[in-house]
Amino acid sequence: MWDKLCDELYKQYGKECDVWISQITEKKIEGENLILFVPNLFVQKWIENHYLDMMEKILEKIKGKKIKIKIKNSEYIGKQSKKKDNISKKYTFDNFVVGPNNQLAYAASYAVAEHPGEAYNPLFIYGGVGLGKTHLLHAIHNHAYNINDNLNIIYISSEEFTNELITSIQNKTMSEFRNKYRNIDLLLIDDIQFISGKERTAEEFFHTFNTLYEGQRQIVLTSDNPPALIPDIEDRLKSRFNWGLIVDIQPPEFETRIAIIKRKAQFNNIEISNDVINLLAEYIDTNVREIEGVLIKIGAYSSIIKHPIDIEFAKNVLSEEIAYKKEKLSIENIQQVIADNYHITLDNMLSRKRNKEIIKPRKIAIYLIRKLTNHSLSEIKLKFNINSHATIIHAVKKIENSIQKDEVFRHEIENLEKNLPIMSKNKHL
Amino acid sequence: MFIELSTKELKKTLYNLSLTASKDKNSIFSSTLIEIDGDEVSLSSTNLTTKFKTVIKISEADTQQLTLCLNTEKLYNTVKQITEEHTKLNITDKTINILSSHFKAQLKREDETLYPKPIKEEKKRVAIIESETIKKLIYFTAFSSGKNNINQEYNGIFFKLTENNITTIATNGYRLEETKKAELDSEEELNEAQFLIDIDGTTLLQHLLENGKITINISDKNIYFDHNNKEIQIRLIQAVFPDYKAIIPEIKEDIIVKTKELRDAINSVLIINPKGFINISSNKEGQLKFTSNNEEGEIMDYILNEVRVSDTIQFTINGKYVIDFLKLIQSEHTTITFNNKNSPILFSAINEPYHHKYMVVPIND
Repeated sequence: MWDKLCDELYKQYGKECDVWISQITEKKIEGENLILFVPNLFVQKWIENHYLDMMEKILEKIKGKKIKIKIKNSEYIGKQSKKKDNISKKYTFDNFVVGPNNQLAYAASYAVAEHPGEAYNPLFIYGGVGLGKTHLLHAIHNHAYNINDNLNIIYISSEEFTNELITSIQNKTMSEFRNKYRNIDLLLIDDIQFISGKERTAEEFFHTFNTLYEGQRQIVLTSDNPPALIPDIEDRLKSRFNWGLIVDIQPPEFETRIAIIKRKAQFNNIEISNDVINLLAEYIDTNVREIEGVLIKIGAYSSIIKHPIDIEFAKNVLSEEIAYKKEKLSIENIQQVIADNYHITLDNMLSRKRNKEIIKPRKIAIYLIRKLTNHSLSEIKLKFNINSHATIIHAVKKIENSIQKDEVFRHEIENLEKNLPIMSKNKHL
Repeated sequence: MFIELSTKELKKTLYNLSLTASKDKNSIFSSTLIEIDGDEVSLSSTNLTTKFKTVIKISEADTQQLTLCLNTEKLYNTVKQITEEHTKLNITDKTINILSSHFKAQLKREDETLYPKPIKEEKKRVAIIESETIKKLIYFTAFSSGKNNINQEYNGIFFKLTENNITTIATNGYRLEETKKAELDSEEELNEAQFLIDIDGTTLLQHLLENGKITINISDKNIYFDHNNKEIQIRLIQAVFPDYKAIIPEIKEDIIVKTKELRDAINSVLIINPKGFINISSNKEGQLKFTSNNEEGEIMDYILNEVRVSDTIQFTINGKYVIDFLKLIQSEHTTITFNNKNSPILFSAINEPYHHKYMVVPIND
């Protein structure tokens, strides 16, 4: 096969291509790929730029099917034999549980890993805590690297980016810093919302983004909010986040939670019956991290006290979690959290003032209390100093309508809802 | 500063731009980029998949070079009201003022620096072809595509060009339509190429393409349709289209039926089974029989008396899928190719100059 390929190549380009082809030191078949080894980067680039396309066409004619040719150089192999330390091999596309809540994010991430810089650039993934954003970033890294281990990929959180920037400024090594981040094939940045309010970091990231984007290098970002809702970020950066594809990950639905629990149980060697799985799926409807936390807690308790995981056992463990949540979701807690979130005082929220800065959080608080607690209209009416039930019902309806019509607002409410137990935990009443 | 443009041309252009512009009001892509250069102005809008750009002549202006950005929907809705032959846009640093005999409008300029600069791509010409051909091929094929978040190849139309013909294929995994235009017009030119375009892009293409010859160029990431100062750019789907040739059934039995009779037969039996599942078989007399039933125990049979088939013919398919195909073709006859009850059923028809092959996966009872 190789001799035939060389013959065809010589017919196309003449014997001068022999100068380069003869430098191929080793050939290896791996699946549908032909791997060729050359001594250095210069030869690699020459063959890639001048002969690679034709070689693949000739091979396709000879073999009757597409064969991808990859060229590796011995210089590079030595340097790049280790993968980056901060990437976990355990997070792959294969073990990411796909459901309607994250299907688009999964598909977009996969497309980006297969064709960096070609499919969606940038790819912006947002969603609440513990829903799989970081898993997807790692999966992109792992998959892209498996396809082409010549790719230069950096995975970093925006906080680490900031810390590195500060260190570079202090040590006067900015050119190395810029060189590091602007000469890569794929940049994966986690929690981009943390550059909010950090002007110098935002400025540096802006230029890094431009360089990579114009060079058609892939950028993937994750955040807890869509770009429009990230505070204290310049419009020019927010606009750039919109230049590609924005996808969200929502909390998993019931069936997806079941699949996640099964997968996690298997991974953690926890034997668990279907009815316990159903119980957990019913009660833990927030995020994957919480599911994992409860599952591991159940597994640990079971292991320590040597008790099999049956329904009663699971209920006991779960009741602690449920009681904790219920305690935190009192009317007063929710009122205080929402008031703080929208920068108004509790007194104003409970007053009769009708400024729009006060009406909006008041209505949101009423909506969330109705949705997340079992308090009656009368109880809510009392706690808000409102005269009639109709006012409560009207407030809830208004918020529901706004959620339906406005995606950004919907996400705002979802975020509040998801993070309410966490935010409440830190409130002292 | 001001520029003056033909109202008719501007309205038409803005209508086309409004089709392409993003509907997300938070995004810069909900705006149109307007670039004045000498006596011409180019207007472009884009969403994630498609970009539309057009150049129109300026009737009068006092500025030679300027770039600005305006919300597409607001601009279009404003210009729609203008009845004068020419529209004058008075441009300040922050606004555009439009005066008409019966109204005036002041629209805010968006920040044009937020618009991404186009990335230069190496393009290769693949075709010079009548736009009508492209539109017809899309029309015949689009209905078979799917909506699949994971497998993007099901979300578009696959184009295969050789020097002599052009073929489009779309599939959702359960049905597949291949339409080939076997003969080119004398001035049409094709080069060998294959590409996959998102279905939303092809839908826009049908709206945006005007009559006449178009030039098709391709880069690694996009396909470009150029015609009369207009350029439509559509992002390619980077996925491998399934090897459908491998599942085209080998002929065991070919049945030729009149298209109208076939349509009538299927429509009739679908009356009692709106879900669409129908059984096709032969009766004792060797005639082609269509049957459906429902949960209430109702049954409907329809027999094509003139069509003789062997007793081995027996399959269940989604009749609605077949009707989707039969509605589009205007050929007098349709050929049904059948192998066994587990292999796809092939419906072929010729609608000169378009040749159709439509495969439907049978349903296992």
